[in-house]
Amino acid sequence: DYLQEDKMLWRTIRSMEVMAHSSSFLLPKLHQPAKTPANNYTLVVLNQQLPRFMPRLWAQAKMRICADGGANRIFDEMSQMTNDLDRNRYIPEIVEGDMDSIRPEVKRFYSSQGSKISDKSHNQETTDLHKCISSIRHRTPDHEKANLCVLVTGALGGRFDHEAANINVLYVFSDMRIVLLSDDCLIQLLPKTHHHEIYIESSVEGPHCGIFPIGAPSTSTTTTGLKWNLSDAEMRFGSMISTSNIVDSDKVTVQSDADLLWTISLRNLT
Amino acid sequence: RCASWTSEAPVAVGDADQIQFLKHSTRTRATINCNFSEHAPCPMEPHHPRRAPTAAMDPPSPAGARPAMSHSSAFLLPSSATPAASADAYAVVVLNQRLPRFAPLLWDRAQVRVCADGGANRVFDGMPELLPGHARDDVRSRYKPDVIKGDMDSVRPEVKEYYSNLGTKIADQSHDQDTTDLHKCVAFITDNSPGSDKSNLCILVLGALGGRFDHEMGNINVLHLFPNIKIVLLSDDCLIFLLPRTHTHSIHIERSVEGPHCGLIPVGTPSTSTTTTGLRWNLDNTHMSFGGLISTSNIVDEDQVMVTSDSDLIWTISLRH
Repeated sequence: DYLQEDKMLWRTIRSMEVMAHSSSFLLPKLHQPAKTPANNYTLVVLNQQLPRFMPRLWAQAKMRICADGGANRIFDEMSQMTNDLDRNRYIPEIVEGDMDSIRPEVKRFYSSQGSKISDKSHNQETTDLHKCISSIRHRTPDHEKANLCVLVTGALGGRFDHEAANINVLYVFSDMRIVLLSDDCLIQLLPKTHHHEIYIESSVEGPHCGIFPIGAPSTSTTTTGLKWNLSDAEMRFGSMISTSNIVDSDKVTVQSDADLLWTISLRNLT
Repeated sequence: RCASWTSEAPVAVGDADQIQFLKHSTRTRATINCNFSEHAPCPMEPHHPRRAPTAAMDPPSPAGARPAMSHSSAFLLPSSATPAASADAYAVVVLNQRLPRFAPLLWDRAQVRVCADGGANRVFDGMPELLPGHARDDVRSRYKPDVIKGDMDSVRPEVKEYYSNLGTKIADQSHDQDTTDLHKCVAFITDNSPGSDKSNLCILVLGALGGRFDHEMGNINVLHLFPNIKIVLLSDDCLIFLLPRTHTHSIHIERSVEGPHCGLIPVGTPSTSTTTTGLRWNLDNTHMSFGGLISTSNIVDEDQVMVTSDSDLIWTISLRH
């Protein structure tokens, strides 16, 4: 009996692997911390109005991919944001998707400037974002996967079924770091397989935040660092979910028996 | 043809290092947005749903046991086109985002109009913009909310005073921080609507989608918290409403104002069985879940869409411009 009790104790204190998160990619380049959870950024631009902090993301990323009409957005909007009329400074490495939204002259321009045009129009089964994430995954060697973070603009708002499909991409590729960004907020998946430590960059994000059990309820979620923390709490649509919460600390921790979506508001960044 | 059956999905078994990855890959093996069209059976897993075999093998449908619920977007039709026998009572709730272009139409249609806090700013600023041919004060007095409700931390003092002077009731609920503004408005409308039968009440909500994601999720949760009240969230691009699992659903499509893009989304819990008719890619006793298949970028093919499911679903359809 004594041995059994010992085993029980061991199970309850055994900790899960920790996954750290940071929005330091939103800081100006000069203010980047020396060490971040993941520092190899790939940017995916979907077809909605660019967020006002797009120049920061562009500068941060090692690889930029325009998903179909996202190329129109860079072509039309980037120079206004940067007061830089030279389009040649903002050439994506790849333009990918089913090519039904990109304007012909935009496609020609980027092609002539060296962008790889990856036409996936034969594949009508998946969204442009899914195609992009799938390609990124395929192209990333295993040993670099842990260091990779994909930043996506234009995934939220617009048609609700598109938004839901884009959120589903986070769940389907749950072993990748993918952050969906809008002017107002960012969202990312906190997989149930890990204990999460979210480092808050209060100069660029917060204080409003939330945690949601999209897709399946949670019977037990515990947090620290929030104004209204959860303690072994149940969360379910149709019952309680954590909205309009407030970050109360530099570090928020989350542990749950369900995959959760984390969101935090973004400050007015230019 | 499914994107996930590409070479990056690991499938080798037996090697200890790969077993860990395989456990993870159970999440990635399912396709999303698979439209259930003619598919060669995928070589990988039996989990991938196939089309129903033959009628003889159809599982017994539980649909007959459930009451029917019907839905229509007739409220989006120009007022001249309203069917005369429509018994629906409409309420409009305006949340704090830019008004969609059809806001005046819905406002005119409604018997009750409630602004949630900063939604009053949006009506004050936005209605004259949507009706530029008319004098501002005329527009503002015509489009005057019955109630401004919520915690009052966003509504501009001059806007609050303007409407208060016109007779708008100001219902300050800053003491209640436990429920969202939309929740308060829905509770108010249901408490104040005549009769105990709410089946012909339809609450149209503007400004619930987009913006801060936690607000959007809170608004979607309100749909789940009030499954027996018809609540429609509208934006310029689309509308959404809940299809509670307790009912079989008949959705009448107003082709002149909505469609063709649509979807069915199991936001709260997975569905082990959903069946539809009237869509380009119908579901047939199909499993849907986040991490797996959800129905998006579907197309309405008929004037009537039927849906039966074992789980609450969010229906969404695009709006025409």
